[in-house]
Amino acid sequence: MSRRILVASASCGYLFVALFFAALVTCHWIPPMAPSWSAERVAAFYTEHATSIRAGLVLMLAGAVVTAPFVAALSSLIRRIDPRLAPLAATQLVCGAANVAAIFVPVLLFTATAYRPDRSPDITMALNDLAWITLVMNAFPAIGQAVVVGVAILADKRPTPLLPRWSAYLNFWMAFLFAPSVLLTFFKTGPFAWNGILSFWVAAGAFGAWFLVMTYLLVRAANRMDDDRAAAVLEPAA
Amino acid sequence: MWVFPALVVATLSSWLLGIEGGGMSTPIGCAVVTIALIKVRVVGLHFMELRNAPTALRGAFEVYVVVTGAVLLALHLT
Amino acid sequence: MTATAARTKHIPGESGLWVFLFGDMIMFSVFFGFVAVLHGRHPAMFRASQQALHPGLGLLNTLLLLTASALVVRGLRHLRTGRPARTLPWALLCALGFAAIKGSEYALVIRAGHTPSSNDFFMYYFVFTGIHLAHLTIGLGALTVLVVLSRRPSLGPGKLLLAEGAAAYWHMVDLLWLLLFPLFYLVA
Repeated sequence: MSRRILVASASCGYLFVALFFAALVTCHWIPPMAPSWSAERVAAFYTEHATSIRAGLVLMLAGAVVTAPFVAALSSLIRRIDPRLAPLAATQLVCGAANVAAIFVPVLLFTATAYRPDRSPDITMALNDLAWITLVMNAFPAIGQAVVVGVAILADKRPTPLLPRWSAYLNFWMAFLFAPSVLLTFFKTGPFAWNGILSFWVAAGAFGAWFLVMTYLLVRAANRMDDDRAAAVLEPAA
Repeated sequence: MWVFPALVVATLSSWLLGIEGGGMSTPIGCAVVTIALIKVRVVGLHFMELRNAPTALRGAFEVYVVVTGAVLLALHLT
Repeated sequence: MTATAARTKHIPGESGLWVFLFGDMIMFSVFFGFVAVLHGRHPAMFRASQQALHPGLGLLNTLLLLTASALVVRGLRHLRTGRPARTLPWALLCALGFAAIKGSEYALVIRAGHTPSSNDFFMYYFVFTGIHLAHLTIGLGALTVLVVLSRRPSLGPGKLLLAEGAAAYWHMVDLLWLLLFPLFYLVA
């Protein structure tokens, strides 16, 4: 495995956080819209911010794709911790792929919502609900990812593990922080609504922090590993 | 070992305070919260063995108890 | 434990575990804050809703958790000195008792017509005590680990660290309930 490729793939984690945050700001979603808004208010919001929402969504779409190399790097590292952890690496990859979709799909729904803000407000509100719920209530792939990564880190038997053991427990904690967003289905106001402190702020904050910490640790671990590209080049000659 | 009996006595006394309080005044509410925080600190220091932990870990726990307590009491007094 | 051993600094369990324990505790402090804010904003609704809970069951559960914790403390001390830790299965029993009583209380409250969507009090009550119950369920696993370890003739340093970590996790479950209980049941 080329170390340079691994570092580059892992570093996409930073790029994702930057793009995602920029997208939220561009869309005027900090703070996010509220599920308690009336249809008229929702429609007015889309009318007023149509262009910036459309532009922000393109940024977020790009952000969704750059999570792919990051997730692949993480799975490569899990296999490097121990080849016998391959099922964990694969699970992480599947959950990571689900996360790409979990960003991709709502972004396209939001784009459809912002496409004709002058339509009947009820329809805009329905689409807006659909998009927000799809964006925020996707905790389970992320929980699966965090748990699997945590288990893989704890399975590292090196005296100095490739990823530090505390980061395994950080992953377990993150899994717990992602969880409350699944409760948004029951509430339109309060901490569990899609704009709530626990569903949105804590979960989104934890998601961003998880990417930043794991990217940093991945890059650090990649620098400790052998670059076996040289061997691959030499092999045909031998 | 005084810790367990003390925790039980504290639990029963705060239960009596809470139940008897009925109409409930702020001082009783604050007393119940304070007793709970003292119990939390005792569990942390004696059961979780943070009493013997390095200063940073024990300090983090003490800060946790103080901050949680300050926030809860402030919210109850306002 | 001798006096000298007591004076040496020691992190119970592996140090990384404390990232999780403190993280969880901070998250629960946010939950406690929500309950206190609700109480401050709607004292009459809070008090009226509180009448539907069963403080006797809450008290019993608090005592069960404290007993389990004390049994774990004793069990861990025995594990360290290589004596048979017979208290640990009883701790597991107390924890199961807590889960059974909590389940019964949920059933009683729901049968009385209160659900998480009734009002903010019941939303917080069901969600926050439910998340605590999920932690307790993981705690059952931690206690089972302790029971299994106690069946071994002696523990190496790695297994002892695991036992300490499991015990610390269990005590955290106890610690969190010590604040949940008065905030929901007692402070009116």
